Amino acid sequence: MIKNQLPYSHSSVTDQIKDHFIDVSDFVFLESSLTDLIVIYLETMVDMSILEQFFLTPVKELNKETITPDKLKDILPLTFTETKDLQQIYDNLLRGWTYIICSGTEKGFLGNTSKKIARSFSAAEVESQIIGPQIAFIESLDANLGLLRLTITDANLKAVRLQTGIRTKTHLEVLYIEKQANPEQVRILINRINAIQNEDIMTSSALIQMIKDNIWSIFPQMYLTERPDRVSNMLLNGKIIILVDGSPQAIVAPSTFYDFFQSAEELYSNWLVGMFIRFVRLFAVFISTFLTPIYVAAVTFHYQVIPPYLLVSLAESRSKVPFPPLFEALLLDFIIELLREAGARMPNKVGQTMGVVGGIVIGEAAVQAGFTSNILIMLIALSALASFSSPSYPMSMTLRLIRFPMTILAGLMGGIGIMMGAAILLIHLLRQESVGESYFPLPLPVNKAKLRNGLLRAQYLLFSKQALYNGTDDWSFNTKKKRKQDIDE
Amino acid sequence: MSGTVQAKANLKFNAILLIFVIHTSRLGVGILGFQRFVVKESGQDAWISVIIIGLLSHISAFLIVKTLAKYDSLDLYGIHEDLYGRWLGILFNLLYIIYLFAGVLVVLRTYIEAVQAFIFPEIPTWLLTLCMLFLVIYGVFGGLRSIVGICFFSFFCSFIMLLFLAYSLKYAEWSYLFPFMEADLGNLVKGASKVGLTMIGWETIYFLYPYVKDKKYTQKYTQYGVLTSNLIFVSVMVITIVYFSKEQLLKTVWATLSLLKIIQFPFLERFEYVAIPIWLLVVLPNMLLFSWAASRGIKQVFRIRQGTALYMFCIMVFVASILFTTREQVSKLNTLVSIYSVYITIVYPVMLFIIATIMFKWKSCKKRIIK
Repeated sequence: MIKNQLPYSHSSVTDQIKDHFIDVSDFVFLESSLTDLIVIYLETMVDMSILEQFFLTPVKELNKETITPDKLKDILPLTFTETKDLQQIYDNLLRGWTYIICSGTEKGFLGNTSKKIARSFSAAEVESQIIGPQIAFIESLDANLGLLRLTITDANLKAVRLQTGIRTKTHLEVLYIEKQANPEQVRILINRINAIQNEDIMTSSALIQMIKDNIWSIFPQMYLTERPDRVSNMLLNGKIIILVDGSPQAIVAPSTFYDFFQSAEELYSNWLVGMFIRFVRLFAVFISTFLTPIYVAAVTFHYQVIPPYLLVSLAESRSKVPFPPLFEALLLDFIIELLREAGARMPNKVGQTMGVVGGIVIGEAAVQAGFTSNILIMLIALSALASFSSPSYPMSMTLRLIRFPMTILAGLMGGIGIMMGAAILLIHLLRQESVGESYFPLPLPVNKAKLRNGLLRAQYLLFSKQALYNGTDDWSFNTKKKRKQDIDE
Repeated sequence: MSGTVQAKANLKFNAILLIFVIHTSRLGVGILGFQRFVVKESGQDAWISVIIIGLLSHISAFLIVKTLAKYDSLDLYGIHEDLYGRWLGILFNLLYIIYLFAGVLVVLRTYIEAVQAFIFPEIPTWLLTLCMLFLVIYGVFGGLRSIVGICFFSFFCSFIMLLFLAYSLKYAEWSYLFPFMEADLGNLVKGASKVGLTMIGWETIYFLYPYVKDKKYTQKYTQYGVLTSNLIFVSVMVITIVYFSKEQLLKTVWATLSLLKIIQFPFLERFEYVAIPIWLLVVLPNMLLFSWAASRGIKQVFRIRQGTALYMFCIMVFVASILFTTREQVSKLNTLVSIYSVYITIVYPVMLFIIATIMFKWKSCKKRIIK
């Protein structure tokens, strides 16, 4: 790209900037007759107190005769730099910087006077936790990066700044800890982001859709979190983080399937408790995906598997229902989705009331009216509940969506249908990759460090102290050997 | 060397996974009802027949890995072309592909028969065939890595399902095992030859070898895989013998499934309705591995893309599968494949090892003479 250099005459510079910002109401072009200076900024983006304190006040004290560009440089704060690049001036003015130029010369200075337009930090709401730090990311990139620097005080935490979008010019930050992250994966991610340079992106979850490995897969392949402590933890484990300006969620890559069922809370609680929570979650995945299909398959085709006394109560509750089990299950599943969606969109005050109306009244009335059976309502509610046990919202949405084709398969082919669905799911998961790494790695002691905090959550002492990337596929660990202690020693 | 498999580093898998792959490639539909044929020949000593085949499988697997180790990164197709020359090599490769084809066909048809016999008597064969072949195509297109992954999960499935067999030990009549060694050696060997179809599968190492990351462990983990599956075969055989009387067993087509039938839980009865669907996950790796190996062979022989080869292979399996309409035809196919599989998996590897050794000796002699 040919850069727009300042032309010879300064009047045309200011004219060009004026032309560029024509019909922009918050554009300010101050021409001081007293000092022969021109100050240019965008009113809405500039912090007036900074502008006054560090710049306008010192300038006012100068005399007209003594103003030269060199003199100006002396009184301006250090952060002001001389520039002639017109494109840079445009871009930075739009970010709240101020451009200042002596009339009659071609030397102008650009400095950051931007106002911080962001809310203050607050507690994490989507991924709330009982133990551990409560703070969550906000919409400002710099503030988020600062939060991470508070935890990881190490110059090895590298931050590569990128930019995408023709109109939004969104800033991105790719973070990784050198010698722990795989440099090849860092390169791949940066290349992928550079490849979509012209896309205007609003938020990190939209970015994921563009840079994930298999854009057709229903599974989220990069973890999205609003918790700085989780991100720091991931960084220390050699993962790569992408922060997007204007988005309070960080992207973690590469992620495995198991990552979506972990939260930082397990690491903060006792290891047995942590392991227990993790197994509850994995069990919940199973329930939310297979419980309704198993019911549909058993009632439609394999009623022989149900023991007689259970069959009696089941038949009793289904005796008034005029629909086939498949239709009944899909109907109820759909109603639950309806409740969830309406609950999410409704204003808070109405939401609770409607939740009660929807959940209790519709549920009770549906059974009374003979639309569905009690047992199915219980199972559907259970699987809806189970699907939310994943700490990652995108993953829980995926789990809910998978249930529908599973139920249909079960309704068409019974147990064989369920297993067909399960096999497709398994093959699909095994085929996926996240930044070139296996998305669904086999839980084998091939990589001991990953196993200890993968499926399991082992004792802290069993974790490897440092996982260093040594340039090959093998990972080496420094583990200290401890002397065994005897009884009463 | 022509036909050298240059596997990329990220496509290779750890040697330890061979345990699961070899184990699951041996466990398939056969185990659901192989007991009848063996007991017919060797009576209550049928488990000795199973052990005989088990020992032979260890030896055969040992020689297969030895043969493969002579060539560093060749699979069976490459070895054929190297030993026999281009045209004779192609002939042998084609024969092997036909064997793999028959293997897939037998697994597919037998599983469908089990489904039709126990769960859905009315379900059309073509529908199930189509569904299973879809899974095969989807899985093989995922590459060897996803096949190995499926094998891993299938391994645990098969173990858990067979643990349930222990339930029937409650009703075991241990005296059925005696008199010990009533059958003579001839009967035992005859019985062993009948297990062939059920216990084959370790020959897949012929095709997997180039993809093993740490090749020096291949022998060790292959033997482990053969061992775990042998243990399962023997224990299933013993459990069957002590549960059924001989007359009853000779009339039972699906002996293992009949064993599972008696399992009862407070929330579950008729366990075979659960077992047969889950067995899909045990059968699938068989079909995936065989189809993968066959499509690699077709690729090598006809010089086409492996994806195209896979589609061709699956279409052929589909057509062949719906050509078999009656139960008798399927069991005839089983008997036929059973006879040849013993030769292909036990006799042929020994021959190939001897031929390869002679060739290598001869080559090194020739080199010495030239020097």
